[in-house]
Amino acid sequence: MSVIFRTEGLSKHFDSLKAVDGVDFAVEEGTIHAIIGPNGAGKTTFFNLLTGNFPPTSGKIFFRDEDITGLPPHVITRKGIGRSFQISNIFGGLSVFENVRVAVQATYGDFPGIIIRPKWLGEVEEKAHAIIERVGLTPFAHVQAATLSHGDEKRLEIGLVIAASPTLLLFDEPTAGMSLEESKQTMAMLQDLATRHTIVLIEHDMDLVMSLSHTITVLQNGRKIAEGSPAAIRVNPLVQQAYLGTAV
Amino acid sequence: MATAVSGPRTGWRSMIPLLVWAVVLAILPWFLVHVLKSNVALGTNMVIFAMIALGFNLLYGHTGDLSFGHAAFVGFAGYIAAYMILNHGWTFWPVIIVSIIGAMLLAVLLARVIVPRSSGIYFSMLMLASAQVLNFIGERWNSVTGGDDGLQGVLRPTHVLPHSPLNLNNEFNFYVFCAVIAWVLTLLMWRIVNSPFGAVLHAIRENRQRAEFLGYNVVRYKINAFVLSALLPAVGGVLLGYYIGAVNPGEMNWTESGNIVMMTLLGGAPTFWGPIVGAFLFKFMQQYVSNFTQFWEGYIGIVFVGFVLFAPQGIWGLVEAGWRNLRARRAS
Amino acid sequence: MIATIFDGLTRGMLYVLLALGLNIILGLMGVINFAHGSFFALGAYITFTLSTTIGLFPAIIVAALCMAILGMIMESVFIRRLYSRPPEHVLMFTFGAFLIFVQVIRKVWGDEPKPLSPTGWLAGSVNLGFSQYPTFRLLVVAVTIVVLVLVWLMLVRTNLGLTIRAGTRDSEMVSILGINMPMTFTVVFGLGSLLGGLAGGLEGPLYNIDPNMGAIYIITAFLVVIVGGIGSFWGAVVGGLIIGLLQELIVQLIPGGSSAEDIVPFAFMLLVLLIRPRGLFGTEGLFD
Repeated sequence: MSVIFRTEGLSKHFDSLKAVDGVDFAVEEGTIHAIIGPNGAGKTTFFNLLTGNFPPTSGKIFFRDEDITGLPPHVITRKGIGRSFQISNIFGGLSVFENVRVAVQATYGDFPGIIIRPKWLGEVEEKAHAIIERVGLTPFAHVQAATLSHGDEKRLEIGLVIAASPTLLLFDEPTAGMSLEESKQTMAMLQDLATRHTIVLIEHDMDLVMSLSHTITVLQNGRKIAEGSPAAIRVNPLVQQAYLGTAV
Repeated sequence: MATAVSGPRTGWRSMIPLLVWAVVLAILPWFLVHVLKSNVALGTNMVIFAMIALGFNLLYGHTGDLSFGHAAFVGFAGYIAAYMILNHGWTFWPVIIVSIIGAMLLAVLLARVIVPRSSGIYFSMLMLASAQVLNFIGERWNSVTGGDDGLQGVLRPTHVLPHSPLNLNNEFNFYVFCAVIAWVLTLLMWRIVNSPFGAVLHAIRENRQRAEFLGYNVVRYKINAFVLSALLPAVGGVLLGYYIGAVNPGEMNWTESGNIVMMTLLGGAPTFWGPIVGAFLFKFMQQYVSNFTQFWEGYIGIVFVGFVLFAPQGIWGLVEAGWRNLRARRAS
Repeated sequence: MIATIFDGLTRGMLYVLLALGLNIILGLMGVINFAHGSFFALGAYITFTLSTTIGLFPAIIVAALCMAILGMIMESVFIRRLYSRPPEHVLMFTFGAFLIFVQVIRKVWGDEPKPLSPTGWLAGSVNLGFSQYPTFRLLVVAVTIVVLVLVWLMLVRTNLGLTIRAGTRDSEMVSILGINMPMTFTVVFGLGSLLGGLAGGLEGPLYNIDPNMGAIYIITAFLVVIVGGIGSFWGAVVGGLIIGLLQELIVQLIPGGSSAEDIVPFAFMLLVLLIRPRGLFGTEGLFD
């Protein structure tokens, strides 16, 4: 398997706060790679760097050997990286269908059909319905997204993220605030997605992380303190210390 | 905010609102003269501002950017038109084309400078400041703009159609002329708003960050929406010049831009037809309340503030919400 | 020439007070108050009405206090309802309020400009060595300096000041610390409005009082805020003084300059923004 995504010495300093400090990170294609660490470890800041929310203070990011450091989010997305957020980031005032349709449309080029309708409209709508089916939201297709339950919102966001068929998926705490049942469903969905995409996720749910991921990276205070298979991480003394007694 | 468009999007059924609009335009003169005891000229005024508000709302209601300086495009196009008519004797079609191009070039300039550097209320205020600068230039560049008095003596066009000379000095004829233009431009707006491009604008309005993370270059879309939103106000500015027979720098004042904002909100910014409803109502109130009191702007201000506080979706927003409720109840 | 500079400083002091009031509210609450211009105008008009009964200087103080109260009422009764809405709604509300206030002024005081001249001890002039200078103008400078010192002390020495300086971004953080944010907002709005009313009261005897004065000054105040930096105390001070000075210099020293008077703030703002997009002392830009 080849490395599809990696960072070299990635750092982000906010004045004197080193939110991310010299992180070397590599993801193998087709795997599920989890990032864990205590609160304040810099996980979300790390994600924000990966998706171009802001430029790093130093270091580089490579996607398939292409240097994507400092590129804006919409360009990075176009290269095949999709991202979900801790707090569901969807289009509240639009219906579920309209949400997914605009996500699919993004792959069809810029400023389409302002006056004359392009021929691919039907195709976009079919694909949108297929994705809604995949994330299990078909009965809600014409419901306003803001009225969805928390779990359904997260599923909609996953739908938005996979709509452009990205190669790499970044999920920021996909099961946050979910019930046991919903978490299990999300886990199944992630496993299904892993057959077609490479996945990196930030998670606090240790059961999910341990059973799902191939590789785990542990961050603390902005630094990488451990990396390896779930079994290796479980017995790693540094990791246990970082969590201060939390069962790993 | 409710979805900006409701109802079927394709097929002849989706054209029904546009047909209703045509009927409204046809009936309006009769309604104004016989029911409201007013005159056709008020109708022309209403229709021109309906156009201006509709264009403005592409940027506000559909994209989410509130510009407090859109009167700049109305005035700028009006000045170009008046200048060409008075100094070079141009006829209607060259005038309208050049004025539109001029206003949209101005829009490109302002958009490229302001949109990437600001958003939210700062964007609103920078647009206000820009319009004020144009206002000042209009007041002081006497040789070109006629200074405080503006440019006067703009006559109605005579050669609009190739073979038949239309007498547009007749108020009714001029109304029909403006109404036809308004209907065609409404159709254009309808196409834009319901296009895939329009869908992206709505997404940007709902959640800019999410749109960016789907791969959309949000700044470029906003700039394009901005430029398109100047088109209808520009046409309105030219027609206004013909209607009044003059242009003056006060048209670009920020309070004029504020009027555009007010009529759009009153009518219903999150809807397609809201701005038209708002413009009609605003112009009507302007005419009528001013007959009773010289402080009519204060009363309009009170109504406006009331809507901002209690019904920001506007009159048409309330109507559409009521319509949806009715449909939902019938279905269950 | 020196007299011109003093004139510029006097005018600048008005801008400083007005812009500082706007800036305090904007920096903490993210609100651009269009009605700030109305508080300015009402400050002048109330001063005009009261000055014949209680004297000019007391009238100015009372007017400023009235504006503080009016501002607090407006915030707590109306603006508070709009915090959960998109910020454009607050902007539109304050715009509507401004329109209403203009008509109220017209109705109560009429359309004619009101003349207001300093009387009694304020009417004379002081020998500054190089020339005689109007007492009232010196008073404006003195009052503004005193007020600025008080505001500065409040900002650096009190909890309220700390909260204001923490700014909008940290208002969530601050409320977690147990500070009553709703009341803080109201107090800050009152303080900003007080400064606006004070500026108006001082402006009346200097220049003119008419129903449109709010509209003209509010835009200059906003430009000063942009030039100086959003939420910045020193930005308002330096920006206001510079723009006031520039305007006086151009009007008095350049023939035909009075027609360019209104463009000066815009031109200066463009210049500053090109060099420092965040304003002279700004820490956050115009971006969201």
